[in-house]
Amino acid sequence: MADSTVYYMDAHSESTETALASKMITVFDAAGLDEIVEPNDIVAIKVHCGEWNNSAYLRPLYARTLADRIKELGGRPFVCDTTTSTYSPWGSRSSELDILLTAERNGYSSATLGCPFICADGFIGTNDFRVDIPEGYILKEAYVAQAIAAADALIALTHFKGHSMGVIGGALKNLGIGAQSKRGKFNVHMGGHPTYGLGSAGVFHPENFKGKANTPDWEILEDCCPFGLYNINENDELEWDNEKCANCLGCFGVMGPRGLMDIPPVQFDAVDAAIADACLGVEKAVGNGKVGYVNMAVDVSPACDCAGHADVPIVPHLGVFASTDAVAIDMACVDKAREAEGIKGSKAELMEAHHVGDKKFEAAAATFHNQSEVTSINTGHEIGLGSRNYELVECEPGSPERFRFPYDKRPSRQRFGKRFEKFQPFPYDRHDGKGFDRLDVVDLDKVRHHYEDDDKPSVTKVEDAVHADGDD
Amino acid sequence: MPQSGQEMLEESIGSCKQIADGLGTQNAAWETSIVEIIEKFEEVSDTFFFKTMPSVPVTRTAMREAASLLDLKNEGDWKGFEASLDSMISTAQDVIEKAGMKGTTLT
Repeated sequence: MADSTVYYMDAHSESTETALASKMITVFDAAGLDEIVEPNDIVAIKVHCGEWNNSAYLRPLYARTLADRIKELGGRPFVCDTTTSTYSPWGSRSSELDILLTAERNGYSSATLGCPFICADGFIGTNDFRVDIPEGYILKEAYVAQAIAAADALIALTHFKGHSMGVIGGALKNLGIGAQSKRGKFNVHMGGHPTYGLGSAGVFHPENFKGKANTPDWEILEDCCPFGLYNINENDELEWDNEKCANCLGCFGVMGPRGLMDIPPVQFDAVDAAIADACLGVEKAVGNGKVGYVNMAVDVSPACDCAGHADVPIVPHLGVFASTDAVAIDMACVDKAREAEGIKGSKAELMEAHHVGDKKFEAAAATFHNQSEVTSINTGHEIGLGSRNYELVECEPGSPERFRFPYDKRPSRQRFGKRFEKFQPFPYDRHDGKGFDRLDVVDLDKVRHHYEDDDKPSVTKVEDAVHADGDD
Repeated sequence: MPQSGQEMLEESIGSCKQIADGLGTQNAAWETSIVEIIEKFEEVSDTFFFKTMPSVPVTRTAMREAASLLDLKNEGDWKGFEASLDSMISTAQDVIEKAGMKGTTLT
């Protein structure tokens, strides 16, 4: 007997009602997420708006469609993301100013969404709501982005993909990292933690610093840390004030490759567990029964949308999922990815983990060996956030009428008949009623066959083609 | 779970050492190339890149090519060896370049 239900539709589409945006609404309603929204509820739709130059993040169409559905239900939606940790010296979403510019470039704005796009944790990322989580596996408190904590209801609209630290980037991570303020992210990332924090577990190798004169880009060693914890002293030695390390991750990509820091894999495991705790914190902050999850497992890239690039997807589109259980929905997506054949030429194949049954995210998304794609899921199960024992219910497509262009549902003659009489777009009065100046017959075979087939006999002669289509 | 990049790099070094052993009597230039690969691999060994998953594909290629080169040496197939050595040198250059991890962002 399953503990949770996940509603699902595959990613195939051949009609209006099977369009992915339509399927998203069908599973949303099937999962009862429409019942989460009550009239006048302020509803946060939490998305990942994508880093600068990322191209795998969810198209704004999905957030727009969901916002429209929430309006239908009487709710007042807003779409949001949060400021990031300064995980790269050149990040594009670390302040409200930056994230709004990036979001707009990526297509997330009130003009496209039909509702405001909000940076949920304020200008720097310190607008938050502290919540106790005594059930937490490692965290005992979380700092939830203010606009999310203030909402009456929350829909986590998640692009399901890989993640170098979380291994998977699913619903748990969308809230466990994405709905935390910047302060909350430092908490989840183990900043200051006596066992798992970089300041305590990281092994610093200042002996590998070759001096300013031999390090042309030495300035980045100091500038990668927004807290100013790295310093090259008057003796030309690199120093690190590790006790104050907040785990912003900004130095990882700078210090690691230069051999100046051993980044501890155990820290990644601890973060993955903490993600589930922090997700529970969000559910507590918003309120019981007022959080729903929609996972769009499309463009399943190996890296997260927080990377400034997007690689070839590792598996084909997996489908559209909805549930009230963050643990179950992520488990269902992981299971679908394992059942799928990996995409040829993707990182899954490069890692030789593209076979049915392979743990594709552990091979193609993780940073270190032995990171697990189910750590967050298992933690969420352990702490009672949700259950990995789920039933997958396949939904039937909804009515096509429901998903058609909503502004005018009349068929063409009713919409255009009078207008075409007034502004005739077809010139019936020209060329004996044929309308335009064109040749009657041309050699179409000449332009439709592949040049490498030059030595092969033509399959269809022009006359045959004309004859075959003659009925029209 | 595949072998780690570090493990495969070490295996590559081991194969290369066996290849280099006595290779100079067949062709001194070949031995010089293999010794240089060993030196470069030892230089980058244990660096951060080889502790990460992205090191797996390129070090796996190096490990397999080194093993194949060793087989060719043991079989005395010097024509095949010469052709495969070019590929090994190219792969080794790839390993060394990727070990620098330019532009890496970890999140």
